[in-house]
Amino acid sequence: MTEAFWTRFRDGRGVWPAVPAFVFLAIFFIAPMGVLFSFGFTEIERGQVQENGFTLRYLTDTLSDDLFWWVWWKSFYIGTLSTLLCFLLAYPLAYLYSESGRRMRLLILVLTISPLLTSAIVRTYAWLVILGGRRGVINSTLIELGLIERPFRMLNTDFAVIIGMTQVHLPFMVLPLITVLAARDRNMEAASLGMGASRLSTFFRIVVPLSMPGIVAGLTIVFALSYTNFIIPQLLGGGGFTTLAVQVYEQIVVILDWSKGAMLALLLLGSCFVFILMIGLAGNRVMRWSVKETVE
Amino acid sequence: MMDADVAPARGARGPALASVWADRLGFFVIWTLAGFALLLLIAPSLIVVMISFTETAYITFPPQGFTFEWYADLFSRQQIVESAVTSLRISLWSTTIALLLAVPAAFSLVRGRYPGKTFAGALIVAPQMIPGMVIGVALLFFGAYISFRQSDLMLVLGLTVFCLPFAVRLVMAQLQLLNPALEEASLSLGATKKRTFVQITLRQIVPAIVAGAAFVFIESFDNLTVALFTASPRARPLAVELYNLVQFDSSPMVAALSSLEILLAFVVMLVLGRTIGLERLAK
Amino acid sequence: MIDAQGINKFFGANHVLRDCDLTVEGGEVVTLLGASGCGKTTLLRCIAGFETPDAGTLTLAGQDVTRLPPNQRDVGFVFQNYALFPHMSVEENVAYGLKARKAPADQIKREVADALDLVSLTDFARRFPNSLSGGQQQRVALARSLILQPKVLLMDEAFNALDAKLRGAMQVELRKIVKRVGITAVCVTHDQSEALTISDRIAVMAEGRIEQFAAPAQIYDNPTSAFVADFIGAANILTRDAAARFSHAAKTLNGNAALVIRPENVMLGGTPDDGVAGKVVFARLTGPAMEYEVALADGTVLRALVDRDGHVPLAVGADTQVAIRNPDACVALPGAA
Ligand SMILES: Nc1ncnc2c1ncn2[C@@H]1O[C@H](COP(=O)(O)OP(=O)(O)OP(=O)(O)O)[C@@H](O)[C@H]1O
Ligand SMILES: [Mg+2]
Repeated sequence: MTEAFWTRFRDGRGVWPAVPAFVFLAIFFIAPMGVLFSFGFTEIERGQVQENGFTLRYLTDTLSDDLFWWVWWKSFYIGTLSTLLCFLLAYPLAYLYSESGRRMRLLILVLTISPLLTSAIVRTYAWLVILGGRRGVINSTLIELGLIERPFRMLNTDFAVIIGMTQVHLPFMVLPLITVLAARDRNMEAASLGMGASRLSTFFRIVVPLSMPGIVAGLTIVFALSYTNFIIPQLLGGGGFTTLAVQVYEQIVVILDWSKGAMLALLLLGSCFVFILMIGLAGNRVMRWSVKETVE
Repeated sequence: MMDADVAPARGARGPALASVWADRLGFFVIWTLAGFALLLLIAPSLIVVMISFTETAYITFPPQGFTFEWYADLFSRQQIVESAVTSLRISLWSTTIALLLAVPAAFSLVRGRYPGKTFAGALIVAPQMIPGMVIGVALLFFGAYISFRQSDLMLVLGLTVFCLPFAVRLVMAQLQLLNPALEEASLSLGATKKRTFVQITLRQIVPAIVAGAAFVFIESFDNLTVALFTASPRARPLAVELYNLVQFDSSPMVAALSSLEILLAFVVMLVLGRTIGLERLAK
Repeated sequence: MIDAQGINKFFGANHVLRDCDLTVEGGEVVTLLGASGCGKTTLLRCIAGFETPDAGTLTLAGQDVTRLPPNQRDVGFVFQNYALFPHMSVEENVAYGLKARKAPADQIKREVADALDLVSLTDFARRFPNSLSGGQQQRVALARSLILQPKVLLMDEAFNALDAKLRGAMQVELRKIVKRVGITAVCVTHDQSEALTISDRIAVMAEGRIEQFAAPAQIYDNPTSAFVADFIGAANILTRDAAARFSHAAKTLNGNAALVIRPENVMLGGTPDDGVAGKVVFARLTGPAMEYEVALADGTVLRALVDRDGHVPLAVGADTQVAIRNPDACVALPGAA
């Protein structure tokens, strides 16, 4: 082992170009993450770290606070619903892409990537306009048509937050699905149809299972983004609406309780990783067939 | 549709009539959802752009009349122009730094041979797994710890951390596509190492560098999650400015500003499409 | 022109080249032939300077170049997929080496025109590699190397990317061009017919060793090992005991361990005086000849190639007599079969 290690090390050309990036990340990413971690366990007063300030107070306080669990549940429920909604819309779109010709594919790509490059605030703003009070696009249209007399309350609801997140995160679900679906081997579908299966059952029993890697990737990214988004809940959910991510923002920027904010940020990050891991494990279970058996 | 190119030889009896109707219904649902997804992707931007031309002093749909008044109004607001300039400056800095770090790092991660390379690669793309807010918060706390205040510099650093993984991955992907025989061919034709690097290697990855620059630029320009925590309260970047406007200003001027950002996104997309192609970006 | 002595190369613990000696005269075309993974490419890349041997010396035109980088060796290399620069036109590709040498513009112009003329690609000067066929790309790669008048031209599986038909034509074409220019060339292939077409001499390699290095006819008629005999053309390799049944051939064997009998040297039917009884187990048509596999009583299977002219085909299962047409054409090998 050491022999091989040193041969490789002597061969070890080409580390240097990466060193600036490592150093940069060590100082401006790893170290700050370390500080964030330690702040969750430290007494801080007026931005000053106190001597011997180690404390588990923030951890225990937070975990024993009913409000925290309520907020956490809200985050989870909003994140999950909008992720599933994203998937429900993205999968058909990605499938449409994989079955389309060049022009349609380009159109879908442009429509998918352009929002990705457009500021999330702009896209959230659009929802303020669409859902907003009496003059919102939906209400004014419905009133104009005489279908309703008084505007619906759509803004500042769970629905507004979920639909906003779905729209903003849709591209992140579509792109990985497009990648797997467009590259899939169509012979399997032909084989399935040839054996007399209907097109619908071929779709659900061949196409969908084989696109599992893309599904897992999409669910992971979109859940992580939805779960940690604090802009959309603030803008579309109204003043009383809160999620874990919103709490982090408020503790740190508004209330200025940094230790509490740090602890909430850590819990947000940790629970997010746990959920992502669970999605990955569930995906692995479904994709047992893809595990290569090692035959010696 | 599928049966255009694959004419399936159905089983001897063929599927039952009911299952044909189930097929039709199923695919009707799939196409409807796909259509709805497309609508959801494009409609919001479209509505914002339309509203930006309304003659009314408040947001309304459908817009009434047609005017460029709100665009003029936009440029007359010093605060907005200033924050746009701030954002431009900051984005250019973070783009430059991110690429200066990313291009050599990508070379090392693709070409280098040293122990722990996989780990090094994972480290460099790690910030991608951390939400922008957490990166911002961490940097804010770190700054407080070493007595370094929120400022343009802190924002630039935060954005660079946030965007570095994208740039590294774009360049790495291009390098992996590069045929090593091209460089050997150049050497065997008598070219020096330097000439080979500039004329063959670098030349081949220019598209990825341009695409990476465009991507990092727009990400930095639009970023709010890192900016809210790291930007100086005095010189606010455009994203933070817009965030405030969206909450407290109901004038169509906000729609005009948003429309300009949408335009910028399309310019960037054009650059990406021309350099590495949109299909590759999907990956 | 090329003189490689005792070349050894390791990739980690993998001993890829073992004491390779190769001496190539000026103007000669030599082919390295061997199965996949035997080290042909590695040897060629050592000559080009892309790899440095762990032991041994390499001399090009009297100069020791063992440790010289590739860009100072004056060697032309044609890559498997040609490695044309995709962002440069045909013309620019061909001019690349001269530009790197800072040749004057008018000289570059003149020589590029000559080189393109040599490979008949004058009309394609402005095109980009992606818009060329495989054969045209190969000729561009050839022109790009030849324009520098290198001491030697190296080619790695240069015909692999071409379809079967074009491959044959390009092999003939290549040999003509190389001979017209009079350059020393080393090619790599695992296709024996390619080796026979283009080379003056063939070096057969196996597991990092050069098994035999000789003219094509010599290799075919007098293989020095069972591996070579089997690799070039099919061969029946009989153990001493099996060969002893053929009384005429037994004296060629002369105490050696094994006997090589080419399939076209095996006669079926015929006079029984040297014959051994056998049974046809497989038959197929190969065009001008019938190929059979015949099992002898002890289980040995012999391959026979019989000219179809005047031959009544035998069916699988038919009994027949097996004999050797020309015992002198058999080759005895000292090693075990
Ligand atoms: N860069 C390398 N690193 C490690 N091992 C290598 C490298 N290049 C070649 N090898 C190993 O060296 C051996 C010989 O490889 P080489 O490419 O010379 O074979 P070859 O005769 O050209 O085969 P082919 O006909 O398939 O091209 C192989 O076992 C290969 O795996
Ligand atoms: Mg090879």
